Amino acid sequence: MTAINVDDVTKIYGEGHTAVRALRDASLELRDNEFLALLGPSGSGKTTLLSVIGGLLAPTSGRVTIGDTALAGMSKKEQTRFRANRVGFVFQGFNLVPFLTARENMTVMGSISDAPRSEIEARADQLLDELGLTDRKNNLPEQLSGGERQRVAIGRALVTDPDLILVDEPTASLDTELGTQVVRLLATEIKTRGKAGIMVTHDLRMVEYTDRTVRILDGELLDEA
Amino acid sequence: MQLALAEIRRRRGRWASITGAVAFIVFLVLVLAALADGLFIGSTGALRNSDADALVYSVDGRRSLVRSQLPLAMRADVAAVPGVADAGALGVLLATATSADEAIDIAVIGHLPGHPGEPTRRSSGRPLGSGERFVGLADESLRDEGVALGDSVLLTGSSQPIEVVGFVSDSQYLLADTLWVTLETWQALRSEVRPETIGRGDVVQAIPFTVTDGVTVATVGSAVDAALGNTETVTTDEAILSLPGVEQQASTFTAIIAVSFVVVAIVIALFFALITLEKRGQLAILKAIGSSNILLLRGVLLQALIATVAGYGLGFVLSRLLAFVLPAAVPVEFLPRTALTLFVATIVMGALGAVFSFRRIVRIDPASALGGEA
Repeated sequence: MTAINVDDVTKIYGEGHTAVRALRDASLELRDNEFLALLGPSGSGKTTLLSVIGGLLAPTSGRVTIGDTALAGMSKKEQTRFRANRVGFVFQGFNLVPFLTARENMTVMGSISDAPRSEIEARADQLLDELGLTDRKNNLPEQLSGGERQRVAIGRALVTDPDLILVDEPTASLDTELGTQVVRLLATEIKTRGKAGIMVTHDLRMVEYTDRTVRILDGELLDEA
Repeated sequence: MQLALAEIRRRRGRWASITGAVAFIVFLVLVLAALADGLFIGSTGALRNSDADALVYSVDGRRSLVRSQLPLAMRADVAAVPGVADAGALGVLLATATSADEAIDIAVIGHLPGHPGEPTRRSSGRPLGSGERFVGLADESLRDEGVALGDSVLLTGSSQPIEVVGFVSDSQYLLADTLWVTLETWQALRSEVRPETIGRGDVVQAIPFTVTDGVTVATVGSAVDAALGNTETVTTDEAILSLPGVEQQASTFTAIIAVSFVVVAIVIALFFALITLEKRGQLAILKAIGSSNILLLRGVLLQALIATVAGYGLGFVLSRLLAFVLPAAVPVEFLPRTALTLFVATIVMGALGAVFSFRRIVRIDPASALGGEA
């Protein structure tokens, strides 16, 4: 089934002389159970595309459909609910809440998403186990290594059982070995759950763990096998 | 809620500092309010706990019990005005007495037992009989000076001791301890203590009166002034505020307390502005993963509530501890009503301060969480 449908999306920042065209007529389709790498240099528009798909930015023109939900015309409030319930984000850097433990950084989604808290807690414990963090669940982020923090971030993205996982440069703050570990783990979690995932990266070594790579340059998508 | 509470639990140092700041201001405000209440109570008891509805002063007395002079005969004229139920008489003599080698200021108040103007809160002993000479009711505050039931008080300059046959509470006049005597005793004491008043005839200082049911005090007061001429009749409440310094004290303290509350709001506002600025990135992430503004704002309000409630509690305890070490002469009164009012005001000002960070939180763009900008 089609998980993500990006149809002819253009995003222009600013107006007149200062207008910047960050995305030009971008079209993309992703099925369930598919993990895609979005590869491009900085300033190529990959973050903009991720933001449009994740309901963080409205496109200037074009349509984005997630499952059977069209993002166009959503109010800010609806966008927020959409992100809380249907998208899992993994950010560049670690970006955990510094005063919550590893487990709490996941279970906090119980007060953000509409899923019942008991369900979130059960899933958090399962994810802590799968991500090898059970022993570290009561540690604060500052007591965790970089790799462990990024695994907690992956757990937080998955704990609401979203349709879609969006990953922004997950290896930016990690060395090659840890980065590879994290991406491999991410790929496993996405595939075993049958989710659709997009990972923005400029690191070619990471693409081997994905199903497909799409290059982006100056806001244009260049399909690649 | 989980977030807001966890932040306080795991960032104790920072929340202790804001709680401490609030506690310090609350402490200051509670002590000021206790002083204000103490001054008010100590200054006004004699009139506040009187059963009179209004007092007649001479015009040139400018609403002062000490300055006003009226012939005692006027009491019958006041009583004859339609709407007046009963009239009494009041005379004040500011004197000193010696107790345990220490001079105490005493306001000797002459009145007519059984008529308006007498103290209403007798706490022990017996009431005064009409015309009874050289016995008196002492204010409870004289107990602190070592005066007991059956003791005699001798005023400086007088040869006649006054036997204390009863005590009344909350009847002080301008922070002086009061001794309530019959008008006859008061006149005798006055001519001894203030010999310059001999020969002025039967002069009293105010004529307190009560009104009959169904008439307003103001209407009867105007009728009294019209009938007597050269008098100024004021309601008891007005008379209380006209006591020297009382209104000025009250407004000065109210102004200081109000400014302190503005400071509470500013301190809370600055604190939240600062931590909002510091947490900008974290808030962007939380908004990106689906936290609504309402959820984040509720957290801020809850945190402000906790900081102000804890700050108030701490300030309250500190102010009570101070009361133990203050000398008895400092007129502080911790009234539950004042404490409750100030509690509500602290919470409201804290919430107002927190609301200032709302706009800042709402303006944070969740899209800034991506691309490493946050």
